[in-house]
Amino acid sequence: MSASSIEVDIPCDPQQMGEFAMPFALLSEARDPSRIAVGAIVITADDEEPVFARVHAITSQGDGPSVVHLDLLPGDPLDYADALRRSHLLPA
Amino acid sequence: MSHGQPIEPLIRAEEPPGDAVVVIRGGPITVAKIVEHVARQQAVFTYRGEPMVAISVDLTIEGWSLERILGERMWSRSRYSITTVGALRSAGYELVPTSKAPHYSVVLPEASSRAAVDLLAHFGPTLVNEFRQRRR
Repeated sequence: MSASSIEVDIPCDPQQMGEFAMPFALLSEARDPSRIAVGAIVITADDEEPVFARVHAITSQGDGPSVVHLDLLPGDPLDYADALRRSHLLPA
Repeated sequence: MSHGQPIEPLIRAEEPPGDAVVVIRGGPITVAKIVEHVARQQAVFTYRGEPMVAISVDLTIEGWSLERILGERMWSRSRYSITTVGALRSAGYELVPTSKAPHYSVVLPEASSRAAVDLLAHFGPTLVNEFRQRRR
């Protein structure tokens, strides 16, 4: 993967933990906020080492920002792509 | 008055870690990333009524060896860097046990590149995470 061409859906610090004991992101930082919904599968972290995540919850406190809570999915995203190709869910 | 979510309910009640406890920060170990992550923490949380200027780290507290942290908490990171609680404490940093162990927040004096440079000066060289779940 070339970091220069990778665009995550929503950036986060995978080490940062918030109220659900999982990483969080700001909805305002999403590349396309309309794609960020509870249950959605997204690419997150950063363009050097992206990871898959499922959106666990979206919360906000008062007039604070909308916070996206991310359940990181294990493994390298390229492993998922390989599995999809093996099963012909994606063209080789 | 700040409008973020108070971090206080997420602070664990536990004994302060000893000076020899190892502090781990996952990569990328860059000033830009520290500043970015601090800004996110500051936007979401308050600490003592003010925006929380802090960066996440993990500590080798009870039950959490360095190897376990690298494999279970840092599996998505191919690089990391370490220091000790004593090094950060003697430099004046406050370590707050937030969310779930072994996660801690290191409170910075301000949200700036200068503060990030100063923090990273207390960490050692960037190391390769042999427990990563990545191809590179």
